[in-house]
Amino acid sequence: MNRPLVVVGLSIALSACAATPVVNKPSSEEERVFGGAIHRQDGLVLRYRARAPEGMAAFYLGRGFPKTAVDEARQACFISFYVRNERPDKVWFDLSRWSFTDRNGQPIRRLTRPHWDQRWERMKVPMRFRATFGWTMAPELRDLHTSEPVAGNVTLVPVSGPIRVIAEFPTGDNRDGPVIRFQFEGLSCPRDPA
Amino acid sequence: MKRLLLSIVLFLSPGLVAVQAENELPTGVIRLKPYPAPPLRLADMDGQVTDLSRLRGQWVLVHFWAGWCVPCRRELPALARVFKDRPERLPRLVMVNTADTEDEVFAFLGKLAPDQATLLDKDGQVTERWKPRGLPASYFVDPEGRVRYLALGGRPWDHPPYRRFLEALKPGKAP
Repeated sequence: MNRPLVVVGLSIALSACAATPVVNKPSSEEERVFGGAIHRQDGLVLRYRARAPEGMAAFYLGRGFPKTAVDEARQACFISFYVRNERPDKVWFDLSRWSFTDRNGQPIRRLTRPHWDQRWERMKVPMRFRATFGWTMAPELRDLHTSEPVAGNVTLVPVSGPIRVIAEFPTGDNRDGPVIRFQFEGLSCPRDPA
Repeated sequence: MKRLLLSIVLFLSPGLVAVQAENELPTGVIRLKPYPAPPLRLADMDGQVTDLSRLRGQWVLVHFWAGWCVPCRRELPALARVFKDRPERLPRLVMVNTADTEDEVFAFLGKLAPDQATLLDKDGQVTERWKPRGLPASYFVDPEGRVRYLALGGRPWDHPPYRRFLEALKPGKAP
């Protein structure tokens, strides 16, 4: 049998299957542990889950973070993302290509690393807590090699109601391949129980 | 003549090892354009200091981890199993904990990798200098102190392709 033809045929069949986002079971232990909703599209796996403020606070307080810093953090809306590249080429995780909008279509402001760095600086939060907080945040920009995952929190100014997310992932070494676009609306900012 | 041949073989053998390693890179291990390893001089929980610059002449696996990191939790036991078996056949393992407290490290390692010691990067600043793509991160430093390979995310180090890769990085000079 002509192997290249089979491979091309299979690729076309698979890409046709992957043309729309599908929600299904996790393919790895890492994904299973992460939990939350899963979308798969064009060889990219994307998972997300909104974090309850008390859960986030417990995580950071449990690691000795100063209470003032935790109180500051719990004002924000934390959404954890997990992305895994299962394509043969590079995929770019680039938060500047993501948009978050509220139910009225208004953009929701993302609280970036410089925002937190400034806050921690002003609050004199010790370096080790800043380092840990930084590692729990999603990177702003990362090229994902084949089989490479990336995970972390994205922080937003809290809003009530559903959040629409559009996430675009350029592909290829020079970001000149097809752009993979996810769009989903099943997110909201959890609130502390009244 | 024999001596000349022997010299050529000895000169080339570390190169052959590296070629073998490069040809058989397991999934998630990538070859880097070699660059000098950033400074790394830290103490473990007993105050024993390790200085990477003093480990020249052997391959070193520098592994960054943290107790809160889920993939680290899964990867560490595999790493510990491999290095417990036959450490003399493997690169020198230097584990670096990023910004956890001693209590957290003690509890974590005691449960998942009781035979492994780790250096403590208490304020996370040494880790920052290495600029890992995330945690966990495993860098392979060659005998001349250059970073040559990077493992992306947590890897099953006790699986055959990874063991073979580790065993191919034998002590000796870099090509």
